[in-house]
Amino acid sequence: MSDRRLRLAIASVAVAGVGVSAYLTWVHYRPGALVCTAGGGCETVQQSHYAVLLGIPIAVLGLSVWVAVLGLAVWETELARALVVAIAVSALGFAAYLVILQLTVIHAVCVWCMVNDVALVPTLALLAGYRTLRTSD
Amino acid sequence: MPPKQRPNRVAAPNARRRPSTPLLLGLVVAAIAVTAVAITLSLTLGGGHRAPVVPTSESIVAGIAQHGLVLGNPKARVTLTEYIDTSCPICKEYARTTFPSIVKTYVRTGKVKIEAQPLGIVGPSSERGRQLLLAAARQGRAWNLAEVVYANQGNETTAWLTDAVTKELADQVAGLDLNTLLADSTSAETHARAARIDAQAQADGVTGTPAFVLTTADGQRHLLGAGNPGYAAFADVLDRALSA
Repeated sequence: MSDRRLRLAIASVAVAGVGVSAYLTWVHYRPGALVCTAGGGCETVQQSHYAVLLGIPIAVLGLSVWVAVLGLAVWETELARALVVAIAVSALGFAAYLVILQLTVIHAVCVWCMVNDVALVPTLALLAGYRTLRTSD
Repeated sequence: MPPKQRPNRVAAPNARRRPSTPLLLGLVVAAIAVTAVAITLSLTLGGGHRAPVVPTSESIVAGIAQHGLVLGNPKARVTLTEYIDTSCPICKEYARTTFPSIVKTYVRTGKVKIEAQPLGIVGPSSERGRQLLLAAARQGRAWNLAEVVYANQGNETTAWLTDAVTKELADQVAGLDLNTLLADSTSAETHARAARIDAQAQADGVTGTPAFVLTTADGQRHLLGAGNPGYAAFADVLDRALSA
């Protein structure tokens, strides 16, 4: 896969991440608009104390991270490439923490959060890692 | 004719070059550190019960008539019903950000009365919180107690509203008798009242908290929705109901 395609793939994942986290940000302030799978715990997770960090909704933090990744995918420099890897590592760790929280502490699963934590973030990590390893000096 | 040769591509500066190892390592280590701090903060601030704190601001409902769960002029033409849960963080957010403006503009002026309808759905302490509010209502202190409970709200996934916490919170409400509160909270009357509220919530189509129902002058009940839409949304609905 060419570097251009990898950048495009990272940008596509980031666009999906922006979509999911923007939706979660919206429903954080408008919980009535939350669409969840039957029997799901979206509302429980969204209303949890863990949904906010230092007064900032986790969804807003996620949105800002995805916007940053999108910008870095466009900005093609050595620093941008390294920053995407660093963000991916950080996001992967925090996503794993959020999944463990949902399953073991909150005892409820937000399907939208899972899309982000289990699908989008690991995909970003794989793409960013592969892109860094395969590029030649 | 010689085959057309592709022009040599000239790499743009910094393009397609692997980031230097020190740069990459430095950023990754920083990222791991940031993640560790974020997780620590989340665990520290998100879990567990915080020690009760006395609200520093003056009571929002001070000086307003309370009749059971109803706050304000009992003859007000318009009623705003709040389905709340004492363990629900968004209910707390609504009580802190939107409720004071509604009280100031519509309740203190006698235009609108607000009726609390506590539910017990969010977490292990929800039902206990509801029982206490219903019991406090019998002493005309439900709204005062709700204010203190929200100010000290614990993690909704835990049974934070213990007897010890209840005592500390009740002590902060002037005129609230603790022994009567505890006795009333488990009485048959309180259980019956809770069942009636559940039935009304179902009839109103309420599925979560906070949820709001508007009763207009003609007695019609209108489900406004859930969440904390902010003061402007309530002002719009209440103004229209009052001018009808």
